[in-house]
Amino acid sequence: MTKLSTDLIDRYLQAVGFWLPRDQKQDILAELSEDLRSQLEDREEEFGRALTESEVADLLKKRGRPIFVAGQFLPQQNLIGPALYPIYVFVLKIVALCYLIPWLVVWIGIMIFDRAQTAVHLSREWNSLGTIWTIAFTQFGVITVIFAIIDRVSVKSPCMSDWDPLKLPKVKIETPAKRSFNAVCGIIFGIFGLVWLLAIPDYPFLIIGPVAFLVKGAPIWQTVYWPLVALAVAGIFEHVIRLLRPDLTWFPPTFRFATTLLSAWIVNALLHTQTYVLPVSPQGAGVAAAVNLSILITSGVLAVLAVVGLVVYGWQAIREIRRSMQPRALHLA
Amino acid sequence: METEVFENLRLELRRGSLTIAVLAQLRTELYGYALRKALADYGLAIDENTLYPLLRRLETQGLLVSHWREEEKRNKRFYRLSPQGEIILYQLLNEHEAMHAAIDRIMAPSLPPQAVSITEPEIDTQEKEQLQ
Repeated sequence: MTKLSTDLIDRYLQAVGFWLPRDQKQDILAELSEDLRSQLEDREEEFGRALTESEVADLLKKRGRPIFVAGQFLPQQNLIGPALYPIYVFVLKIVALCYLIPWLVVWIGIMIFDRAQTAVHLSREWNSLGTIWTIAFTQFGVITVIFAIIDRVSVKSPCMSDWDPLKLPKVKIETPAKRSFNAVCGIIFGIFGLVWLLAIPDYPFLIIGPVAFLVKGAPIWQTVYWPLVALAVAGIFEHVIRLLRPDLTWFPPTFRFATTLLSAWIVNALLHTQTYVLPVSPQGAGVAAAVNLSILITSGVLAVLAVVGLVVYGWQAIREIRRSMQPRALHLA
Repeated sequence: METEVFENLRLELRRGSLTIAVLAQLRTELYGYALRKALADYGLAIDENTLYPLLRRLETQGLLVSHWREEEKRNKRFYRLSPQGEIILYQLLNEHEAMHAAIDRIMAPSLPPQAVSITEPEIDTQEKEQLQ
């Protein structure tokens, strides 16, 4: 063995040793050194000559990076063990839902429904992005540390093994009868709603009660009335399909995604108008202002719900479409 | 993808078998490199990054004993099976044999898959007594 080979092996062993625990370091390195030298001698005997520096380097490269080699000797540790990991992921999801999703929804909502101020909002939101991510990462870090501590403490805790199978919740089954009943109810109430909606132009008190004598609908309703009727018809249609073809699991979320898009368009139109009723007499001015304000607030809430609906139904539709495209055997499994 | 799945499953399968092979081979005292060569000669090549940590783990578990000794002018660490290791080895061999036999029965061409799934599994006398 040449001096160059010995030097290269020593350097390799030193690099491995850096990552090893102090109490075992010398012992492990001595054994690795012996193994390497034996292998080198075998190779030299095979070739009938001393190995070149690059051949020794190749041999060491095959062994792996020093950190990887040392890592094999360290005890295998998890920050959060398999028993707690599903709960940890669940908590992270809940935190994301409670913190990030509402922020995203409001942000997207503002972008969609208040396009006139988009540039201003974008600049403001961009500036606040750093703070939001800092808070998100802090939450992630704190949760991870808490779970790591719980994992260390509770591994041997009796509560991890002491549980009662009899206390498990009952299996939730939506029977075909219950599903059909829900669909029939949906159709009946949908028809009532449609009739009510169709009657409103002739009988406005159906929607605003006695104040119908003080105020009248603003022109915006001429724009959104038929889309609202279309939404009511679509609702009935969805329940009919659910009743006749319960196997089309992709249909409800996909259809709802489409109807929510239409709802978002209606809400967008309402938010941009801000005048929904006009007074028919001077006494009606105060009433008109109150009704306009309440519809504006309701539209704002509906805008947020529409964005949430688009995200949820979009996700459900993609999931169900992908499931329906999978082979039957896998789907059943 | 399939290769990756196979590779993962192969590693999982090998992990237990390698332990049995190492314990079995160390009924005779050997140092690390010689053990590696002996296993390779039997057709069971084992990576040094797997072997040495495995030897240490088995020694910590009390299944192997080791000592440093000079041989051919070099210090080498020799391992051999401990008395407790012998007991564990034979238990593991029995388990391995039982699993092998069960897989053979499952894969037996004379039995269709349905027959296998509805056939009552063979239970040895000791297990029957425990069940009763």
